[in-house]
Amino acid sequence: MAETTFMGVPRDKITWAPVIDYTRCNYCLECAKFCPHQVYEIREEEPRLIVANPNNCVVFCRACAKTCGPDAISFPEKSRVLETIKALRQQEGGK
Amino acid sequence: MLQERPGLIMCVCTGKCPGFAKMDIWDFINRVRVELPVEYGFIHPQLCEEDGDRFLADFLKAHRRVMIAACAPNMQNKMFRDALTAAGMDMKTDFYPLDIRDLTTEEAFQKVADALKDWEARANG
Ligand code: SF4
Ligand code: SF4
Ligand code: SF4
Repeated sequence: MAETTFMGVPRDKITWAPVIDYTRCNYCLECAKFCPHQVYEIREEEPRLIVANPNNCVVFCRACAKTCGPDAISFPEKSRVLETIKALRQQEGGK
Repeated sequence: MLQERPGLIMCVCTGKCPGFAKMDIWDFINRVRVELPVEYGFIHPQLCEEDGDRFLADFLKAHRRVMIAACAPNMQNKMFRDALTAAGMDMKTDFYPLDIRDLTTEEAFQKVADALKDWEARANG
């Protein structure tokens, strides 16, 4: 399975995952079809698509957003996430 | 005329993702580079990130075809179009995108072997 760290920091402390703008999403499900990491979950009820496993998302990957016609997928700002990673690594004593 | 052998870049989505969990990526790339008709094979961590773009801009040469073994071909076509065309490469003849996610080492190896044959056949008309 997936490793639990990225750049020396526990993956679950890194807030990198897609965010779906439901006012734009048309449930074409192209994003879920593209991503092999079980980040998205397709459901019966509304909303029909959710980000079920954010920690499975590959840090700094934005590939699924490129499949999204209506531009409904966004990500956190990379520089912010990088800062957090560096700060966390220092906290952990440079492990 | 027989074309030069293509190079093969494997992209592993940072190496930290379940998409390649069934595969031993080192066995895969070692078998590809040693056993298949490629000029070289190597692993890049995340080709579609910014440093991947920079890498491709630096690395690609119009005289060598390249196969990228990674995620879905239609996505690769989108993600790498700029870098490849900037390097003077023809997306149709110089580039072969291959999806090797969710495969075992053996399945991925076979897929590359078959794709190389297919590509060679196409190149030779
Ligand atoms: S690709 Fe975009 S529009 Fe389609 S389901 Fe995903 S978020 Fe919604
Ligand atoms: S960014 Fe990449 S890993 Fe994350 S959900 Fe999209 S395709 Fe999957
Ligand atoms: S090119 Fe494809 S396999 Fe490589 S990091 Fe991007 S989404 Fe993952």
